[in-house]
Amino acid sequence: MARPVLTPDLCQTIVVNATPNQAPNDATQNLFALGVVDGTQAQIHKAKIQAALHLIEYRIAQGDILSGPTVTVDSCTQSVLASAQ
Amino acid sequence: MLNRRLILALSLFASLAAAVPNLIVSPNGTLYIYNPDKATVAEMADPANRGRWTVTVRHSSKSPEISLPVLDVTAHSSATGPNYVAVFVDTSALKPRDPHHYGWTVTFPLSTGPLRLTVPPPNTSFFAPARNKDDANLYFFGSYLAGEGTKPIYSIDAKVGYIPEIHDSGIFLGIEAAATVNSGSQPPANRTRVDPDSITADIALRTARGNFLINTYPARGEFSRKNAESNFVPSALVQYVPKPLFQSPRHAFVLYETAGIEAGTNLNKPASIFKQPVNFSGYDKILRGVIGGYAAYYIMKKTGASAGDPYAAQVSLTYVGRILATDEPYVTSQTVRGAQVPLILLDDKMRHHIDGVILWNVSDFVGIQAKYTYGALPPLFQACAHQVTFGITFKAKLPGHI
Repeated sequence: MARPVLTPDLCQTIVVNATPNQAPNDATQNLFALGVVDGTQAQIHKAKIQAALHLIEYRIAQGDILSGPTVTVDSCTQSVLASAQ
Repeated sequence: MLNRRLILALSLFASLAAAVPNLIVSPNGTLYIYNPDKATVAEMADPANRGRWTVTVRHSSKSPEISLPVLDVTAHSSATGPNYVAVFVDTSALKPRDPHHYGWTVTFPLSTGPLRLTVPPPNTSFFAPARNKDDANLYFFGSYLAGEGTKPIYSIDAKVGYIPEIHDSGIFLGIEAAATVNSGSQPPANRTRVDPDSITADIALRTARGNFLINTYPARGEFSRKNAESNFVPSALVQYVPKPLFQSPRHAFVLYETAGIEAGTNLNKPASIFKQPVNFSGYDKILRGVIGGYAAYYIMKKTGASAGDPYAAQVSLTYVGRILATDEPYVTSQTVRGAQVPLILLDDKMRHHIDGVILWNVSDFVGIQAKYTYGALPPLFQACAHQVTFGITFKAKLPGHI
């Protein structure tokens, strides 16, 4: 699979698809609304984002991903965009 | 690296709170300016203004600046998606090519004033706040019980650990230790003492697959200092993390189930406990099945929620049941002629342990906590009757990966 260009829209899709609830797709809401309600859910969320990025040949350390109840979809997306390699 | 991460996190939160522009550098070298001033987006994306952009990079704070030519600038707006201005630059002059190895500065002379956005070069730092005991690298819960007819009783629940990610593998490896001190003490006490009831120290290997968290402890020790008892018990635990069972905008209820195995051997056994001689000669190999669950109800803060302190309150209950395949000690008490005397057994009955916590977070680092404890923990499985303590919790976190 060819490595696609990592755009904000692609990152947001990856971030939302990795949450327990997956929808609705609104950049301004926090991840609590999408089911990332505690640190345990955030661990799973980060691992799923990392795995999704690996599938398209990008790498990211889980510690570089912002996730948690108060983190917005937009903030998480930006952290992925800023740290993926 | 962490310093860069903290700055990124702070800038993201600050930019969202105040809607100030925020610069993100993508792995492809495209620059994204989030939260652009809507009145100036057209000015920034105007092809006639492309030559007014300046983009410079620095490998470190002491290295010279490299100027990169701007190829194109586009604006992107969406009702539900990200809103940003994309600045495409020629990164062929970068060696190494990874744009995240550099610090970036972008300037543009807006008609309302100069725009200057920066991303600092990679760096390192130290503490960040932790959300809870499981997330914390350093954790301390202490309580103090004083009353008429009893010496003060201290109760301490402490944890220290450092389990960073191995590069970007999704596998975390590190060491941790936990101690529970005097949790089984009940008044009246005739003297004050601080003796660890249950200490564990281990090498931990953690990863996640799908909705499962896998925790393995290839080397794990269980110790009871005051009775000279210790076990070597490697273990493996799997936790199932489904989506919340109930959720509203500020409330959520979760239930996570755990199963695993603990297997090892006794290293040394006491000859006496509470001045009573004991015969633990049949106590050698150890094999336990472990089942458990974590249930929690979270209430988000109405305002002022932060990444390190999202909840106004949380109520949680943790249960661990150990199904013994071999005989192990069990220390409880019985009433003889009106007095409580220790009863020390060696059997394979199931051992239960329950921790209930009500936590009110005062700040990122400090919380007021009420804790309920029942049951027995290895290695000695000293029974703790229904015990409620109140105290103050301190939480802090170390860097997430090395």
